[in-house]
Amino acid sequence: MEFLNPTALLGLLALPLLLIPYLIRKKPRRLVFSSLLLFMEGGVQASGRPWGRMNLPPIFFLQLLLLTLLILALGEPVFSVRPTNIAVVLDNSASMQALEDGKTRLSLAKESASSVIGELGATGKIDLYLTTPRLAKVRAAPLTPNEAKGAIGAMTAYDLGDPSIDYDHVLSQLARERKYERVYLITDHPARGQTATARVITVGRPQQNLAVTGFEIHRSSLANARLEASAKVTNFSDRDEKIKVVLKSSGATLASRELAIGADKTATATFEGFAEQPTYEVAIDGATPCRSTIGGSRSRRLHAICKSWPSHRAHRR
Amino acid sequence: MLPEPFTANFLTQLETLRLRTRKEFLGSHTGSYSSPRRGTSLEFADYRKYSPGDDLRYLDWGIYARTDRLYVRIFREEVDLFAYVFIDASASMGFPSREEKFLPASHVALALSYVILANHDHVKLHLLQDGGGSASQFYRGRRRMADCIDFATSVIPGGSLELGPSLSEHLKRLHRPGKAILISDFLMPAAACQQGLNLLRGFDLDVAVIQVLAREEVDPAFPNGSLSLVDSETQGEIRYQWGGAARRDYQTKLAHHNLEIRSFCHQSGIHYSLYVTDRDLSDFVFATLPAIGLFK
Repeated sequence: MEFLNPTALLGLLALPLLLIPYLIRKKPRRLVFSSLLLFMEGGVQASGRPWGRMNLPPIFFLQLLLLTLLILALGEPVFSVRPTNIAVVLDNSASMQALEDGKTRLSLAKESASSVIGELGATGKIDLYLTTPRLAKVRAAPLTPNEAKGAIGAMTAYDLGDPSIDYDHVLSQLARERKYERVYLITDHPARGQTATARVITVGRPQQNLAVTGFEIHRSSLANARLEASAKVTNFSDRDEKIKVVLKSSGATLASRELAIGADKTATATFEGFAEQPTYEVAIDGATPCRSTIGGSRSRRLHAICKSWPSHRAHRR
Repeated sequence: MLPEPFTANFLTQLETLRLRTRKEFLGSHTGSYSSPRRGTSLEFADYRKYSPGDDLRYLDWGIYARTDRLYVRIFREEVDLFAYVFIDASASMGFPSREEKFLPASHVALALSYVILANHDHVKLHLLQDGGGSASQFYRGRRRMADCIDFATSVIPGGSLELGPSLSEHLKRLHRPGKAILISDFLMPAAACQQGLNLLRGFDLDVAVIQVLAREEVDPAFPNGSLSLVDSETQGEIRYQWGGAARRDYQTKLAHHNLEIRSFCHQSGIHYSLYVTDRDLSDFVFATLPAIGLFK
């Protein structure tokens, strides 16, 4: 038996807490009675303990059993045997090039895949799939574990984003159509859509998904030497974010703006009246800056565009 | 003005009663109780042969006619009664409250005292407490009822009671035999009860016992579950698991304890009665006490 959500099993550690209400409830009520002569045989001499004798009622054990079953159910237990025919779907999108403690996510994914394959017997058959540029099998014929490990070691990431695939559906369909006993998706997305057959292994940690997508410096008019700058910041995550955008020059902060950006929205921070400098940088506070340079007399209007995260390179136009 | 329940009607009813004694005592004045001495009452006691000098009025002429011998009739002497009412005033008599146990017990004592006073007999009240307690003077006559009430109801029950030693302290100062009425909850080991009652018997007292219990003692209204019970007298504490079975067990033990005291009393010629304080006092005095033979 395996658990699809083993984190829930940590709840078992909290089971002793169930004793607390019984310990509190067991604190005996103090009552004065005329004489304890007739109680002597059935009672016990009071001790220094603040609680009473531990005498748990049957309902406690019933509650304990129910709670244990509930926690086990939250752990999503599945009955399984060692599979022999599996598919490994490896996410090789651009985001898998991100570094996690000195290793790329793709490296971590390869390690996970090797580990999954290592658990198979020597007779196991593996089909390898890559997600980018589209979901496709690496080789037509099934691989042995050793061949699969070799093939995985040679895989590289693409400089492309994730194709819009409904993995829940696709993995289930793969398992159904190709009769895989198990399908593993190894990706940097949070694990979702796990079933007894389809397993998602997540590598890397989620990061703040914001980027400076535009940076423009211009003079407000030909006659006016007053400079203006605008920086566009896009929120690629699925939640609202509050950030601080900073305009710098040679390391010195010229101005800063607070921005609230909704999920999947772009906001613009505008800076005015700052001193003329040869180089400007704009950055989300705490992130890598985006640079721009004023092109002397040739250009009265400078335009810099920053590519989406994780790359922060500025191009002068 | 006497407090409840000593209404005029209740007192009038009490005046119709007279304590019964199983023993004969030497009184101090002429009264209505038999004395071992021969006297001039109307109650015939015996015959004896005529001796010169005997009053001719007591000659039994019927015997003389039949046997041709002279006999004189002898009559009993009737004297007044000295009664001692002992009231347990230990802490256990204050449970669940003074008003719910000690005062009803005092009222029983006072009702009996009034019966004695109304018959022009002597009554002395004794409060049994830790270290002996206190005793009133002898009261005689109805007008001393107020004094009896003041004495009996002024005390606040407290302390622990060892029946034997406490009674012993009171009996040391007791010089006339008579009727002793002991009013207590008797929530003490049966041996201690017996020791105390034997002391009273040893002083040639005609003993009557009234056991007083509150309803809460007969049927404790404890909440179910784990309890920490504290003894009102000793402050000893025990843990007790209370429930239906424990309640039944307690009531069985109480019944057995009461039966033990009752049996001892019956074997020893002691009047015994149980008074549960939620019962009407007049019902107890006019129905139960005559039934056990406490009144003539």
